Amino acid sequence: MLIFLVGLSSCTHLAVKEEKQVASQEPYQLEIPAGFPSMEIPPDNALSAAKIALGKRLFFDTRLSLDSSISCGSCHIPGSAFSDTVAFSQGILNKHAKRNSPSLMNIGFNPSFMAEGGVKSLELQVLAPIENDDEMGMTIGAVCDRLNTDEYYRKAFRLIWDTAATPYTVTRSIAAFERTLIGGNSKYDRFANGDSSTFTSDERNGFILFNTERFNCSSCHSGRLFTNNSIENNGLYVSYTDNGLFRLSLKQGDMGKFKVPTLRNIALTAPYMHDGSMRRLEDVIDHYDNGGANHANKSEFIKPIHMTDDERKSLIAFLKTLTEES
Amino acid sequence: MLLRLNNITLCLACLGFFSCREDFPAFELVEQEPKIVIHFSLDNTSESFDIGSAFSDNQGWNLQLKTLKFYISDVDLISANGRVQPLTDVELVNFDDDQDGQINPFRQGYDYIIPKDNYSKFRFSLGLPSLVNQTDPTLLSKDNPLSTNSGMYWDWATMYVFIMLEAGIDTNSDLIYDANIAFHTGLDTLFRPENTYPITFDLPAFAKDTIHVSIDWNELFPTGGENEIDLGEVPFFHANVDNEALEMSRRFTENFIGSITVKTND
Repeated sequence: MLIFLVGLSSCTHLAVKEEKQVASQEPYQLEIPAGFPSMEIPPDNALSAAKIALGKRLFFDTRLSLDSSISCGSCHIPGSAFSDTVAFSQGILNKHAKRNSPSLMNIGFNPSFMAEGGVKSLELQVLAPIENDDEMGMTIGAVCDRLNTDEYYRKAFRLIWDTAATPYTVTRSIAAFERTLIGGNSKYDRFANGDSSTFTSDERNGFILFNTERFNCSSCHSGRLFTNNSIENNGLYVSYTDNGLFRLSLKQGDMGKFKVPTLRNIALTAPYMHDGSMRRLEDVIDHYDNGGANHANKSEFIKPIHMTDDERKSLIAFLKTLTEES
Repeated sequence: MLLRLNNITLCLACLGFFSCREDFPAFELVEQEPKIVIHFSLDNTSESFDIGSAFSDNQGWNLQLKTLKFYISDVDLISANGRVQPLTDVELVNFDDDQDGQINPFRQGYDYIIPKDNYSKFRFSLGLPSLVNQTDPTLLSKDNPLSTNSGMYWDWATMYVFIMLEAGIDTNSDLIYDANIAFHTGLDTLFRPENTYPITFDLPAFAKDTIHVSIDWNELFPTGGENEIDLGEVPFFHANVDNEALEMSRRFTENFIGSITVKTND
């Protein structure tokens, strides 16, 4: 049995506690918060504390990028719910990603990944930013070669996977860590779990409005994760430069459709939309209040709302309760 | 006395000879099955060119080839009596055989040992069948054509590029390749199965022959016709960025098939 010490670093806003923990290869049981769905874990990537620790180390290792300038954690910042604070994250050599970095909090509950939902495996999603010329600019093979020159990684992979760093073991390790990024500790969660005194009147009003047919937010941003994971056109543009799901399906009806993101930690994940074009939460509210742009594929749920100022204030107050508190 | 001695000597010699004969193995002729080489080339009118080659095409462009890679699958020979001889499920044809002085596992040509027979057809699919297109590349070793080492995996879609062609292009007619053309096609809809070509060779034991598969650059980018691709107007696309790119990918794929001629050494 391998036992080695793991230090988990603290993060400003989120549910990563600072503690020293002895990591082992015994199976690791995730704590799924009350009200959350179950998480499917692939049989070939069962969790262990050792594997998670290895994955975490890789996640924050800049050597996974061509010029060793960025890591996964550079664009998925812990203090921003593992999203970024800019519209397009900076990649290697001063390049920039082509889409806004989504939050990785609760990512393990998602059935699909990437903005158009084209990747069905969290393990394989790891390849995408690593091999993107505008992001990390490497090949997974070259990443493995680098890792295998490092004595720590050589030992760790050998002990955990009984082999060297390979495309398989690297992707599985990082995915294992990502699956531990679980929230469930927000003011809303306390409210939803039965503590009705938690909310202010504004927050309560906002919660009610959120779920009305008139506002229709919960048609897509549903459940405890505040997403139904469908792929929708939210009327962001009349004409899209990024075609979204179309580039996978080649169907005109999928032009401009993107995955419905979670609203959990929405107060921390600005800027918004697939292209980070909306800087403030208020801009997003305005967009939906106006009913969005007239695109042929716009979701039927998006219609002008004509909010009052009080309703707008309540809605924003409610959305802010979705922020993890520890 | 001398005769008797000679007879005795002769007998002793014979005994010695016959007692040793059992140590000599019988000589057997072992038939070696024939070998076939499938070799791809990219041609322009009458010359072939490789990675780094500079040439002019019939649209008047000066070009320098940088990359040409494509998947072939379900590669078979078919004998005159209809027997199908599979050669390989999947190969990655890569014109850049020698990368940084190291032999690349993915090459411009591959050879196969096959049963002796009279073969009349060569058949292959361009691209990957749908199920193969969903392969997890991380499960495969580096020398597998579907591994991440191939450089042909679309990570964002978890599927493969079928054809990747890139070249420098001289837009100012000054022999400086100041821009690039790039064609990356893929998607299940662009899989082109069972392209069959007549060949005539009868391969006995010990024989070796080569099937030359030639791709004509000028047929890849024809001027005029329903599959016209004008490099000046559409030099760069991925298959699925938009409708125009999809149409160009379709044309490019059709042209790729149409540009192929197959010959043997006979």
